[in-house]
Amino acid sequence: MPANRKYLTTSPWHKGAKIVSGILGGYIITALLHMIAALVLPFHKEILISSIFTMFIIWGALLIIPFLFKNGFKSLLLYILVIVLLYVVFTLVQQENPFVL
Amino acid sequence: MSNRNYNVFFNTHTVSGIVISVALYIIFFAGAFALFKDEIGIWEEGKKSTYTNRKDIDYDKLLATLNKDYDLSGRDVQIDLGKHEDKIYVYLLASQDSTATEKSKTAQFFSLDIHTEERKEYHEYYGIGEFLYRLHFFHQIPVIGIYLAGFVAIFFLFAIITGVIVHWKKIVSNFYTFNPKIALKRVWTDAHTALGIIGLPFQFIFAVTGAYFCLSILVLLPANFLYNGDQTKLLEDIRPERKTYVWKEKATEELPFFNDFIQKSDTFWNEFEFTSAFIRNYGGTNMKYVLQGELKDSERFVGLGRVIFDMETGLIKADKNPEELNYIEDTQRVLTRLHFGDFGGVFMKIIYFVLALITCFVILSGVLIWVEARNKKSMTLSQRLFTANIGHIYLSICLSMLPVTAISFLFIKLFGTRFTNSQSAIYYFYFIFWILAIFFMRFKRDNYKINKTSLLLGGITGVLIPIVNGIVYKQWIWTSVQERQYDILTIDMLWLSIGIISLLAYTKINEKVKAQSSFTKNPIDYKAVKLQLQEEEKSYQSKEQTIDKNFIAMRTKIIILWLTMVIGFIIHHVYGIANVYFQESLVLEGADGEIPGWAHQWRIILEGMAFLFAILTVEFAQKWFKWTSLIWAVLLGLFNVYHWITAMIYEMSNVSEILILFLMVVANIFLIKEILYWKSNKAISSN
Repeated sequence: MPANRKYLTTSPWHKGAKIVSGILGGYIITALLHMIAALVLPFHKEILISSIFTMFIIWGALLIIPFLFKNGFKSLLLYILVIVLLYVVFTLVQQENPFVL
Repeated sequence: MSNRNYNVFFNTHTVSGIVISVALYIIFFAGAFALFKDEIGIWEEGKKSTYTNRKDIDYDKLLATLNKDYDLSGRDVQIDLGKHEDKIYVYLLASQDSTATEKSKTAQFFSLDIHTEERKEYHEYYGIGEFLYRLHFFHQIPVIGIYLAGFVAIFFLFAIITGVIVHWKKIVSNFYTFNPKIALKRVWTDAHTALGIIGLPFQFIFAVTGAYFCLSILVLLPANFLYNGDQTKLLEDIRPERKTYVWKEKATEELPFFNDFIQKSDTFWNEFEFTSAFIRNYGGTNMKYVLQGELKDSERFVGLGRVIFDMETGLIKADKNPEELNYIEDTQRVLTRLHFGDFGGVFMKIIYFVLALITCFVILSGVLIWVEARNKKSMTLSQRLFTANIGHIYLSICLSMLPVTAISFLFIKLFGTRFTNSQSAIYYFYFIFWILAIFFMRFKRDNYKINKTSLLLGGITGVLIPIVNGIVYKQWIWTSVQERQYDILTIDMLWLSIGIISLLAYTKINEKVKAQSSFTKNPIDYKAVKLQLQEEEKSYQSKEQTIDKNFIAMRTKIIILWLTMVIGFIIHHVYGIANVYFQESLVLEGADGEIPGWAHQWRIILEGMAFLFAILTVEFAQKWFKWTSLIWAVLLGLFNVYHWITAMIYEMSNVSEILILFLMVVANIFLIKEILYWKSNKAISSN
């Protein structure tokens, strides 16, 4: 009972785009999220150390999302947009960095 | 969930599962034994192990000897105090003191017997336990092994999540209808789901913690950004016990006794056990003794404690109270505890062991579902052969681990002491034997037989292990009980149970089960395979005659690509000449109106030859011609890549030129690809 082929992506480019956005994009988003959380929330160091658990769980979830897209490049675009957005937020909140004080 | 999403999840679950399955099986199988790493070490040595309370060890005597042999002055000393035997593991870092002697400049690592003071290098005390522990994160593969294991863990997490999503609706009903008597595939899908769910929390823990241990660099990377690259400060914050101090100068007074320090530290808390000791800047004015330990796991799940003695102040103080939780330190301990199962004693380890083997079952049953579902009449023979072949190889690799591991235990127990370098002995024995076993089993081409053989061999050897230990070393199971050698007893009992269960399973599995496999109902006849494949190809070719509007005939493609090369070179020359518009002198140095010979050579070799091949491909299709074309295309490709790279290095600003050279590289790659395809003769009709 293999999965029904008619629902699956056949183009290797779309598949590749999904995998890249999941692995690379997923990691960058996860990393940025954790960095922002550690900067914004109270208990900075505690939040940071929690990432030993949450980093891989969130990454795992972000690995799956691109596969729900029909168009792999849309997922890539979305991930890139999110990365840009998070990066902007990160640079804003980074101005008061409690870790280097 | 929509039909589409369901199928998408199903497919990602299948693909990620199949890709990581073998690696994951090895990780869990080796990891299951790695839980008993320390016990296996003691079992292997077979000596009646004694256990001295860590506070009663004469550290000052040990340190004096080490100081004599290695000159500890200015070094950091790290000691792993061990848990089971009278052996500690010492790591001496290179001296920070610039005036120190030569022999203090090299790092050292060895095990140290606290009574005999016998030192053993890593490769000397390396045992099968250590080997399996290392195998469970592919440490035998240099550099990348551990990252490979980390990514397997990530994809394991992926497979777990998608698996739960896919099976969500069936989970409850399957749990209650778990019935081995229904058809074979039903059993596998049922058991796969049911056992997958039973082991789910355990597997989730291992996916997350395993990924962290192997890919901790990916967690440290963002943290490093936050610390602005100040790694020392970062590590001080998350691993306070690792804090180091800059060397000042040699102390003139006599060093305080470490024994006194540990005796005093021992009065701080009840039920506290020391696990590691650190000496910072040995013999310096700012020397520090650090002792780390934790409360017994019966007292608290995590209770890390640390005591520091500071030479400068002469004070002993508790740096971390084990009765008060510190989120930063204790979170990390929770993670290691969960992964290593070092709480709750042997009982917990046995539960972990069984759950690890259940996970192995889930992995393999998943592979078998995949193989079974892809052996249908409607599929082509080559497709079916491919899946069947993968099934045989996967099963051979995975199932042969049981007998190979068991026999390696026997081998190392009987002959381990004869090798000075036990590490390479184990490597050779385990890996060569494993490869032979894989080949032997794979060519049975029958999953049923592979399973039976591995169960029989593993079962017999498993039972033999405690018997050999009894006959050869007089260490029978009951002697271990009498002498309270519980570590040895654990390993003997473990193998005895594995052996008995394997033999029981061996007798229970019979041909009736096999009869329900799709490979019995729809068998592959390996003797007639070649003929059938040829027939299949013929019928396949006749079907392919339908007109594809996008189709370009093979040789047309190749001719176009050769001509593209020629055009590329022409554009390249035109760009060169075009420099005249920008008032660059076109006359090369030493030009005298004659075209020099080298210019002709290059013209012929590059555009001339490409032009020639374009023309010849119109008429020639012989084998030798295809070969010549291929060789020339590859040579031209190398030149084009070289040309492009040098252009990027020397004339980065000449963007249009670089683009043309890049396009030529692309065209060349296509050209090689097409000629390869042409040569392989798989191309249809249009030749």
